[in-house]
Amino acid sequence: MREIVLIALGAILVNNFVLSRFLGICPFLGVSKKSSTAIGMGGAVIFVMTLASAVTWTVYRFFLEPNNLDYLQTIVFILVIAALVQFVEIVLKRFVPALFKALGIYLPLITTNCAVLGAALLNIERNYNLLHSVVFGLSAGIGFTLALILFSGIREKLEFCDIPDVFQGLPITFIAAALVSVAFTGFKGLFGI
Amino acid sequence: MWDSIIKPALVLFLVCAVTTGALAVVNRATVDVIEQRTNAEQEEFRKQVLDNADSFKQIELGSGNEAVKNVYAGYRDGELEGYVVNITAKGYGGDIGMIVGVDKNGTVTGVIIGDNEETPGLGTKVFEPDFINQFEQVGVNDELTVVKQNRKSTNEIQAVSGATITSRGVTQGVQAALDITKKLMEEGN
Amino acid sequence: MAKPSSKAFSVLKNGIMKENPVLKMVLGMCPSLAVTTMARNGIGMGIAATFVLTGSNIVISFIRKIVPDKVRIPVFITVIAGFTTIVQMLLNAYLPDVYKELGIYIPLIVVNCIILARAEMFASKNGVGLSILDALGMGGGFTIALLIIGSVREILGAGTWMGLTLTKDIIDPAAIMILPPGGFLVFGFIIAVINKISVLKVRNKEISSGCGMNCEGCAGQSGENGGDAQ
Repeated sequence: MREIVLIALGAILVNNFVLSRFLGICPFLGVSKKSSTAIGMGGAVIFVMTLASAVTWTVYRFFLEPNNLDYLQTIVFILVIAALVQFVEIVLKRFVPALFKALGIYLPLITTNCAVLGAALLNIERNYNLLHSVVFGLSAGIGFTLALILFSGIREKLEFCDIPDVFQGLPITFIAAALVSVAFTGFKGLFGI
Repeated sequence: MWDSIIKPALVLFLVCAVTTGALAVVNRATVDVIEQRTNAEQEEFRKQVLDNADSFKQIELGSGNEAVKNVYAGYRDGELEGYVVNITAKGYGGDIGMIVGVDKNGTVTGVIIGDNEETPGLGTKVFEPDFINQFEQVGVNDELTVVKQNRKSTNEIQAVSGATITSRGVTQGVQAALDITKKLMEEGN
Repeated sequence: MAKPSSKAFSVLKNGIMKENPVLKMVLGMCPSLAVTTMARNGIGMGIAATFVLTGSNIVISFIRKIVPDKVRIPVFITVIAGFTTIVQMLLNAYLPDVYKELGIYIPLIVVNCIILARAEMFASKNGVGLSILDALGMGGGFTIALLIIGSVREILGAGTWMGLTLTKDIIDPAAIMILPPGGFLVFGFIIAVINKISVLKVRNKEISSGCGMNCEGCAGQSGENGGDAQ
């Protein structure tokens, strides 16, 4: 139990995927303009990441590893993730069309979201068991969403700020991200993680 | 039918098959190189941390300390010279692989840092001789403590400033190696 | 200058200057920030990604006419993943130091948006020759961008460059630059410098013409200024 709590806190706060591992920067910048889309995107990522962690772990331990095919890891994982994203897309389109509309082009982008593949690869690298992998995927997704929502709040405020010409747009966004990241480094060493 | 389903499926299948085939070929070509390199590297590391020994034999360990990955006994002309302990220590960014040599008298003869996820240029300063050499002459009966400054005795290890967590992790790793060696020596292995 | 070669040259240059994937298009941010704690790692990642990009561009350009639109993306991803794994295995076998330094970011080349973007936007529409040049240009641009970011961070954060001690003994380096926040910060400032230069450039261009060929010097300068301004 202690291990699970440590994995979860580690992935959400201490080694936040976006702010300290730089995984999932593209969607972090792309959908953080408004809190509402940030929440939607976050939800989709949490869902896909948890599912992907479970599926990729199972495929690796029960299929690739026993057959000495671990060199196919990257290719199999990315295809599994791509298929899962398609699946989520179909489900959302069918049952939650409003959310589907809001997320629009960002859903297919989850496939190339390195956070999802990153979590799947880290699960294997760290020899997590199935439960730990699922917890890790879920927490990493929550960490991603937390960073996204916090950051979208800041960006909404930035809209009303008088920013020097050259810093408008991306530069100030990155500098704001740096400050959020500084805040998260404060979690280092927490609970000895 | 052909254009909408069969052809796309066929093309995708073919691409996957060809890619898999290509990977299998490259894998065959590199897998031995990788394994040989890893084994040679490990053997080289063992010699470096325990340079009196010329051959090594792995010791079977019961379960227990999870920081200890494996232990090798080092021999010279059939005589026991000491132990080489593979440690997985906890660092700032994740696990740190360490190899610690301890001679038959229970004194640390060398420490090598392997795979780690520490911040290059910061956490990795801990892996430089200035820090690592502090472990020389530390013995199995020492209780190591990490101090921020003013190291007074051999069992005090001075942390690298700005990298206290890594320093502590590596020190705990050495301590784990000392503990297991002490146990082995008491058992007369 | 003959026409085909001038086209080839502009394709090659495009990726390094006008459409630099990192500095202008802001693609592939994850590796650009994650591995640039040292200039050397930036170059390592740049070259590995260039290899994958060149390989995938060649193959995709070669098979572009037989791949049905419907399975285009999965096919591209499979090809890219294949080359990524090959790079991973080769690095592990022959350049273990680089392999260890880059770690999990090597398999993550597969989701580097630059590579999929070039497959989709260029290689699937152009011949093999041009696709190779495009890959080399884009890969070169990526490598240069990583080198710039890595150099700034290493010099400011560790006082060294490519392992050489520069300011370490003179001033105390600001370690935060090689920590994650420094990645965001340095990149923000580099983009600001480029913005500053390209605002001037756009003004000049409005007067002259939209041929886009006169950005050669400014993008090069932007790199140097990016370093100086820090």
